Amino acid sequence: MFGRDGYLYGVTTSPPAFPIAFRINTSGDSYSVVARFYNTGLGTPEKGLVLASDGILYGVATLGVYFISPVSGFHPLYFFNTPTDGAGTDALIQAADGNLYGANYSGPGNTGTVFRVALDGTFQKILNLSGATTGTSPNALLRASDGDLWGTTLLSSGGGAGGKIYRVTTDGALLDSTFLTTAGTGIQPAAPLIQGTDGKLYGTTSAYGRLANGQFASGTIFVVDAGLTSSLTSIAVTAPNTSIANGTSQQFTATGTYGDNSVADLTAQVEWHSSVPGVATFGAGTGLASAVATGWTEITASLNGVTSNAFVMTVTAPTPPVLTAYRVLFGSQSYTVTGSARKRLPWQITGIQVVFSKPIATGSVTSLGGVTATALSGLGTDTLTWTVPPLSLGAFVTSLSGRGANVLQDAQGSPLAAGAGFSQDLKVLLGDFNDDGVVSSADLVGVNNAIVVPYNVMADITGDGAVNAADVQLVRTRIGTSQP
Amino acid sequence: MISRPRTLTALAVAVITACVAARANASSIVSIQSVTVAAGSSANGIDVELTNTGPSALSIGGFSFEISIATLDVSFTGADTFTTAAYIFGGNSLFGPILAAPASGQSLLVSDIFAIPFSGATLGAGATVGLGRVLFDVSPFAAGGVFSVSLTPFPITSLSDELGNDVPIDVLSSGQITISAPQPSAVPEPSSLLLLASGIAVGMRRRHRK
Repeated sequence: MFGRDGYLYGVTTSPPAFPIAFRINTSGDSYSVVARFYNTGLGTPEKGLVLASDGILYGVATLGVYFISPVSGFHPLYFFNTPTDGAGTDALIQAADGNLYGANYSGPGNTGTVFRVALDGTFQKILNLSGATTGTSPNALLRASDGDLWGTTLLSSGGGAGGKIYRVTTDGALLDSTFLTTAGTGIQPAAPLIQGTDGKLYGTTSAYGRLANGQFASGTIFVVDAGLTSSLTSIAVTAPNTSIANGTSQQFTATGTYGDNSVADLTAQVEWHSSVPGVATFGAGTGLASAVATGWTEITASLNGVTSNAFVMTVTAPTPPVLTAYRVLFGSQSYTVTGSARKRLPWQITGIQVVFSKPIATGSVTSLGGVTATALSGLGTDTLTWTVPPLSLGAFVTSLSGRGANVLQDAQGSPLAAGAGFSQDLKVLLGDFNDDGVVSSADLVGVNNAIVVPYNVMADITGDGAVNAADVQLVRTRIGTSQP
Repeated sequence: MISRPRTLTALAVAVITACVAARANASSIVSIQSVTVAAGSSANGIDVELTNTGPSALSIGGFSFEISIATLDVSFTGADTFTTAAYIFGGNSLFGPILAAPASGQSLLVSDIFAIPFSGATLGAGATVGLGRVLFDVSPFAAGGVFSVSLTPFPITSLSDELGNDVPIDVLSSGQITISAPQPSAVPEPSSLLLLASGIAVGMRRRHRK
């Protein structure tokens, strides 16, 4: 069984090493013993392990159930009371309800039992097997696509001694059973059923009657067509980002693929799992992972015994919001101020609009310094807009607070630029088209010329989205003004 | 003795050279043309002109000027393109013929540009054109006298070429408004009236005796 750490896990049953559990990497050059059963009271491990939805490996030994955790190691989970519970004989399965199910031999009447054990060790026997109803000496169970448990038994009584196929609910209600026959299916199955991608159940037997050529067959492969739907064959887990900031969350999606190649969104049905809950956790059934600490974790989804790929998600330290664009508003227009390419702005400024790298949750009208704003809008988004009284002339050092009472910060409390804030110099001279610090007839001619060329925002003195006579007239009224 | 004429010649050449150099550097003059008006008159005009004093042609796409006077007895009321010298943008004025809105005060800002974008008026070397006629009223109570009229320096008074580049103005030349005092009316003095009355009385007495 593949563990989530990429190792193969297995158990042995015989000396000279006494029963152990081990792990080995796929290249075979890393091997280690992870459990020693000697003197544990568990007896001898039987068959394989099952990887449950919590990322822990579970197995059955003759005298109890155990688990191997990648964190805490090897531990008994439950010890069988063999007179009533029976004794372990085959691997466990995990059903849709998250519980583990198994079939024991022995027990009352020495005919076997079916039991349920929760991941916390809560045990309940749900069915006593019998030679006439289910057969005896059970193999491992199968949780089929109908949600029920399907089993095979090696022996039976009445109607044939070659074993049976039986079906029970997870509550232990026996729904039906079928004798296996020498002339029909073959008898004495020694392995559990499997469900094909076509929904049908397939099994093997270890004995058969005489063939047409007179020879005896050693076994058969048989099929049970119970009309079951195609089984879930795989689950793919996806998310927008492989890395998110601490304090944020990310929605995961689980897409299931069935045996008939149909797909379905299983996000709400699967059980979500984070390998390191201290890094990211899930709410119930939503697929929304919340980052709670820096580090990495593997996200998986499980349903009906099928576990998805592992999506490795890294949680990074929260990134503070930073400024990505600084705009001035004038008329119906805006202009992004970049560097010092232009010294003076030729418009009447009525607002400051700032775009941040992430939404800003906290801020106020006084978070903008250098000019007295009268209103602020956009909190909760990545774009904030301050309304300011019209500015036609002057030099202003505007600032955005990164600390103090007026701090701008995101929903996680990270302040702007990690507390450094931001400042931007603004020089405003309405009508100064040519950026020479004065308004003269040269600006008048320049704006008039701009009427017949492609739109030049610097000539749109009125800020109405067009350069026309109104801009020329406005410049005319400004002749003689200069920056102090 | 021989050296004196040479010294005078050299001095004269130096003076002429200095004058030529000064003219070569000065390429434009904006000047106010002086006028004489009577107290109580209205709708008087005073021209502002541009002269290209440089050696090459000058292209002008726009201008502005502000004219100012100190006395409160003169009030500028507007400006138009009806100048004595040909108006600089005649036929292609964007704002003309009225270059300034009706006003009343001791200063007035005037501006105009060539109506066709990226084009301007060409002033040949030595040419003079009108930049505007400033209209003004004179108070009927104004005392006679000479009052200086000045131009406000750059950037209020400015020239631009057709591409929107500043054209330096080398000289701003002020002008004068001379206000002539009102002619006093002939009022007889009391002694003259007494003499006249005596003469009339004597005349009437003599006629009566005849």
